[in-house]
Amino acid sequence: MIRRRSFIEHVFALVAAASLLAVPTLSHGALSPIDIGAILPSTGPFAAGGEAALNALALAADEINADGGVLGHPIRLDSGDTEGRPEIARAEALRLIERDRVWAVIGGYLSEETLLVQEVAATERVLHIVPVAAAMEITDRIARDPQYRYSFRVAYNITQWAELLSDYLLDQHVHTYAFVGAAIQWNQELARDLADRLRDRGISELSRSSYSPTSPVIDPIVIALRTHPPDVVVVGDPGPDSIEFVKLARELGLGSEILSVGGALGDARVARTLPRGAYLTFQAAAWRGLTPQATRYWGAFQNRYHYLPVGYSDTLPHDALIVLAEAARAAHSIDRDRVATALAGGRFPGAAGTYAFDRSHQAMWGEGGLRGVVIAWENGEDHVIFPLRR
Amino acid sequence: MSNRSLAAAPRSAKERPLVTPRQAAWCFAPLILAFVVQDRFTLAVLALAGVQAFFVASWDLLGGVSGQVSLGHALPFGTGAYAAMLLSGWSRWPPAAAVAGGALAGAAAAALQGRLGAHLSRLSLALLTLATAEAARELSGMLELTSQEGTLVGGEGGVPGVLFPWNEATAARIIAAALAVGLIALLRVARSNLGLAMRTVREDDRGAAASGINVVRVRVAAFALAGGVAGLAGGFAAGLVGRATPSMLSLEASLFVLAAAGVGGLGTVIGPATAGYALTAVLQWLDLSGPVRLTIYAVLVIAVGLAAPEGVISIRGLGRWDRWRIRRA
Amino acid sequence: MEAALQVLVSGLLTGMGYALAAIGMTLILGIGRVLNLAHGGFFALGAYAAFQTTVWGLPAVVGAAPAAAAGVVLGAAVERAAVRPIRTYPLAAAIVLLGVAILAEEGFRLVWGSTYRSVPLRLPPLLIGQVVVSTEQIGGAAIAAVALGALALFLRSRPGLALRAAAADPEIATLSGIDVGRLQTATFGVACGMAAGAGAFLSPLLTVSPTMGRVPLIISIAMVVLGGAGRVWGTLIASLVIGLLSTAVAFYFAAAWSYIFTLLVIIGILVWRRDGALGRAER
Repeated sequence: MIRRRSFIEHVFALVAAASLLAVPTLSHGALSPIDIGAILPSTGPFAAGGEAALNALALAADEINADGGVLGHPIRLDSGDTEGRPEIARAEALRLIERDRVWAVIGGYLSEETLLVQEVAATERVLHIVPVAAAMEITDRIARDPQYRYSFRVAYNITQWAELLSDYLLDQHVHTYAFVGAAIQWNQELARDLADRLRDRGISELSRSSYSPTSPVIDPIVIALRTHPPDVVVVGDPGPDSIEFVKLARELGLGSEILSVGGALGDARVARTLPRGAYLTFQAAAWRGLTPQATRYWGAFQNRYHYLPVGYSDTLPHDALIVLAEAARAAHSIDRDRVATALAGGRFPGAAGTYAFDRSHQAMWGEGGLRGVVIAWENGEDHVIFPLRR
Repeated sequence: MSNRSLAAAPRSAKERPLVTPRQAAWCFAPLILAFVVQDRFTLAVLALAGVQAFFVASWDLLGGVSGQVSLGHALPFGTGAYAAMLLSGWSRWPPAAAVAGGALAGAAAAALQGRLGAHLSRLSLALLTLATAEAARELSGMLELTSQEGTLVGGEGGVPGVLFPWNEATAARIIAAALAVGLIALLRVARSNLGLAMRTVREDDRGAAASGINVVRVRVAAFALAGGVAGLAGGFAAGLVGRATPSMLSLEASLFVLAAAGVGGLGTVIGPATAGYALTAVLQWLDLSGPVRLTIYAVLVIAVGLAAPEGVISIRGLGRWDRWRIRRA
Repeated sequence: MEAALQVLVSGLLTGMGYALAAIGMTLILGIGRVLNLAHGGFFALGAYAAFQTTVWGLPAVVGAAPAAAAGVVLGAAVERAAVRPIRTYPLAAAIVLLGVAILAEEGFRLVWGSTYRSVPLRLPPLLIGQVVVSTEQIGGAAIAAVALGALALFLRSRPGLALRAAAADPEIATLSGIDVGRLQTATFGVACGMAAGAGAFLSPLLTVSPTMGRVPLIISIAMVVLGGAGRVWGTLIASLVIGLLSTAVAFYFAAAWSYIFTLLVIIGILVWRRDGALGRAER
């Protein structure tokens, strides 16, 4: 009895020793994970955008990890909820950077959140990508102050939004348009920029109206538009009130084409519920079918989340992470300075096109870069209508 | 009609100590914490918690001690924030002066609420305060200013000013110190003759008027004092991030102070301050997802409200406190 | 002229929408003597119910009755568990209801996510002379009229008067053998059911999201306090006046200012009315 037990014990000991020897060789290939901080609103009135962005980031992280990670390091997402409040955004940025030691941060969502996240990232010298916020202040300070050299914006700024809208309107040989938006600063800026561009090109702005973002009263705007209907109504608000506007406009018989800046009206599930009537078009950063990467992204997103992306608040955060990973690969390093240099000087393909950054680290617009696209909803189906040739 | 027995009437200020040593010591607890903690993130959270504690305590002077339930206390808070940023960013005032300016602006804004609402029923006053704060928030979203660097600011991005105090540690300590001093001051006011007048007006305004108290003046004074402290807190809040934003005027902010005061113990000043501090500090410090954090907060509010409707402080019994029981609204 | 008529009609219909949303609150404030800060949550519940109905392929209207029923049951449960025990502390009750509202928002987020949902407008608009009206809006107005009328009649009827008496003096009512607690629970339930029904009917004209109940809450509080707690006619008139004014201001002046204008009107009416004990004494 004793002899057999000690023989078995010897066998066990041998097996144990062998496995101990094997373990170091197994872990030798795996590198430590890189944490990416995502600072976005998961609660509060802007949670819709935050949720879309987080969904897209998760998808991008999986794509990157399937491709070997960032120089072999797997990516992990670490998220913080801003609640739509800048002071919380700042605290979350501090948590992610100082405590969780993230390698880079992507965020915030709103301009006021982004400005504060950008400041924390600057003092801590952490890479920072702006996914969505459009305020000029964000990139102005990058050009002015070298401490912001780790901060880059993949999102459009207002100038670029206006350029796409005006290119489309000119292409469509429109004569008159009206601008409707929420009474928020960046909508006003967009309206002004658009009017400035089109004034000398023969397209006149018949009216410019804005509604309260909290408690919008939209009927009167539609009634006023109906008395002098323009060729196109440009809806500058990507939020939920734009949906109400379209419904009321169609109900009250406004026949003009409605061109939206996207967002809520870019969601296929919403579009299917809208009254059939005259043309509804919207702009987006990207759309399926335009590039292979976009088509892949659209398919992956639909498979995972069972709805189609809207082409902005989800696509751009996805690209933000992709571009970061690409830059690290280009730099052959995860050193922040090297990656920042690579970002500043390189060209990186994303779902929305190729990203190259100008002096204020704004992703550039134009042929071979980003262009944006206008899509039309017809009977709940999406059709890319501008530009027709890529 | 309702039951207002003499036994429920508050005793004179002379019969009770102004501030007991235990209460004073508790007021300094955040300051001790601010020195013990070293990492930037926790210090940032403590600074935020200190600001919220101040804000909630100011509400309690108004809603608890003087019985004027405000659903728009974000108005003086946010006004203070904007004033401090405009003063430090455009007029180049030094930070301390800017924050003081914020306090004055907050006092003025709240005094306006108080003056408009002096003759209203409790419910109408609640709506009035809500409406004034909402109007201010809408207006803040429409602001368009050019900053010193020539950029267009205002609107939903808010108004930038000077970032102060300069790092999280200094911020947490200065705010905690201000909190300690401010809380003791508020407690003294609550126990002063003015505080007594406020409580008398709270219980029975017609009776108070009959016994010679100028009800309108007491009411407006409560608003002005509470607004001044809220404006001070707002100035600090903006300084922490170097920016005043419309969210500082939001209904969410107003409702948070209401909930925290209720959880802490209406009319006790220290209870609400503690609740505001603890809720903010704990919920922000823990690594919780947004929905989980809000759910825990909601469950806490419900549980405390049901188990201790007079506030947590009524269970723990931190010394003798005024109980505020509304019999009929 | 035609535009002015359209503005008038739109303004009145908007006002009826406000009234529909506010009915539940006026009942709770008048009888229950509690500010139902969860009102917006029940409204949103109705809207989500209507939305889910359309996801299952049925017209939104079909979801209204089940939504209202769910509102009644949940409302009664909330009252029984969270309001009745602390009825003598109305402020604490309001705060607890605030907690319920937040729980509701997170519940919606959990089930339907944070992204915006839309309930389709299925019925074609009506053309009455030169004026176009949305059928959904007319329907909502009709429902509001019926509900308000029924409520007004009920509150004047014998059981309604008994209910009001029981609310005003629960001690005497209990002595006369009335189960005041049960009455209050039922009232709260019915009021929440009305809020949910309102949400379901108005859903095609709004965008559905977890925090969609916040603005209806503010509007309802305003309409009810302006009209007088428990005063059905007051709520209706306040709603129509505000609806009309905000639409007219938006049309003739600037739409961006309509909310601020509405708030200023509310403030003005409150200050002018002076309904405090002191105000009344001094008049």
